[in-house]
Amino acid sequence: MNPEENSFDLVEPVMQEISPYDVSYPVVLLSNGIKNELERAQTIAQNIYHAVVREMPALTQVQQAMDKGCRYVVDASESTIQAIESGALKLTQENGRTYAQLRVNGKYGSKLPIKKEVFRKGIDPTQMANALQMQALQNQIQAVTQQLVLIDGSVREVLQGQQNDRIGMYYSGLSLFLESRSVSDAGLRNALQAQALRSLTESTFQLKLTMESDIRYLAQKEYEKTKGKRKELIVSHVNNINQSFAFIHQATMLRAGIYCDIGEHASMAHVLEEYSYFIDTVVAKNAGLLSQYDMNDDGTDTGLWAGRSQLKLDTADLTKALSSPKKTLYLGIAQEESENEQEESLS
Amino acid sequence: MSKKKACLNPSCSDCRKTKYKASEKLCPHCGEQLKFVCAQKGCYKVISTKTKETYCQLCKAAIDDRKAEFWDGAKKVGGVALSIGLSFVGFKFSGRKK
Repeated sequence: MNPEENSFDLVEPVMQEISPYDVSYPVVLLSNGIKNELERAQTIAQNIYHAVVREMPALTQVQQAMDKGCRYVVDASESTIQAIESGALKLTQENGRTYAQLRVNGKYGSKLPIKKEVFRKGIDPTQMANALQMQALQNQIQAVTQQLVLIDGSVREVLQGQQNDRIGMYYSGLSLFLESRSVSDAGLRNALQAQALRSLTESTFQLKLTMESDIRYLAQKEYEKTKGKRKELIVSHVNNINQSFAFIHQATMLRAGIYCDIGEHASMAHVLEEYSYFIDTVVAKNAGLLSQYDMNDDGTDTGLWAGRSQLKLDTADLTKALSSPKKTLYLGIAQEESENEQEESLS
Repeated sequence: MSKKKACLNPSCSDCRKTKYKASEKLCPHCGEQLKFVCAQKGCYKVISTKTKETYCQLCKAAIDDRKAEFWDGAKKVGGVALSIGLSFVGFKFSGRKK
């Protein structure tokens, strides 16, 4: 399968919603989730940039906004403010509210209520942290997505028409996730998403164990114990391996997609890291052995398993960037640079 | 049977058509390096250079299955022949007594 036919370019606009039971649904969900997150991050980054530019003289206040998202102001008239400027101020708390008291001639006067004023709408600290994260991880995410598309191309053909009880858990997780998307109650939605993730995790690990046991069966030539049905046994185990790999891939993509959908980027990276380990230790490592048993593989360098042996999901950079406590995003640098270039060219 | 080699160059006219001896190195038609393939007729699956096997795992399993089937058949035929022989001998001896 040509990977270019199935490539999901992150620059392209978000794709149309496809059927959840389509074989490409999990990878499209993840791809769309990443695109949405990047678009959102871009918008937030632009908002931050504009806000910073607009409030440049009051940079200290913007700094506070980034920390708290609000400031406390004394709700007082013009004459009171003039009085405040000439005297000392005392802050008191009563019934959960804060008051300021002005000291006049050694005595504190009437209590002035202090109200909370949210003055920087659009700069939500959590949103901003996510935006920073997504922007900083853009390159790593793109690299990982390209690798995932290659893996997806390698397994998708196997998925056509495959149905059995071992993949029931995958469909259960998929169904729960789809239900959770139409639930309006936040608590129930979270519970359904958690159940969906659990189902998908169980499905993934059951299939991984099945796949490992099938590989071990072939490696130890256990089929030789049964006379007269050796070829039949080999073919059936190879089919199981192909099927398990395909559904492990689907379930993993769906898990990563769900985590991306709910904004849990670290968990998404963890799922991809776990998948990367599986690709290295189970798929690529046994590709040589499996190419000898798979009747659809001609054993050449362009064969199915030779291609799979080169599959690599490098999540190291992504995980490293995610775990890094310090993330810096340079806003408007490109714009400033281009302006400078324009000025230089004019002069 | 000894190991076999074949040309796997897709642009060669002899690609996956003729099998050569293990001592041959290059394809006489295109000059491409020959590769070890399964010795079974019609199968051109590449087999490792490290292994001593002459057949790929699937063909080997199929050959073993055929052998097993043959011996199963032979046993059945032998069993039938033996039972016929025994019944014939029994019939002959019973005829003598009369």
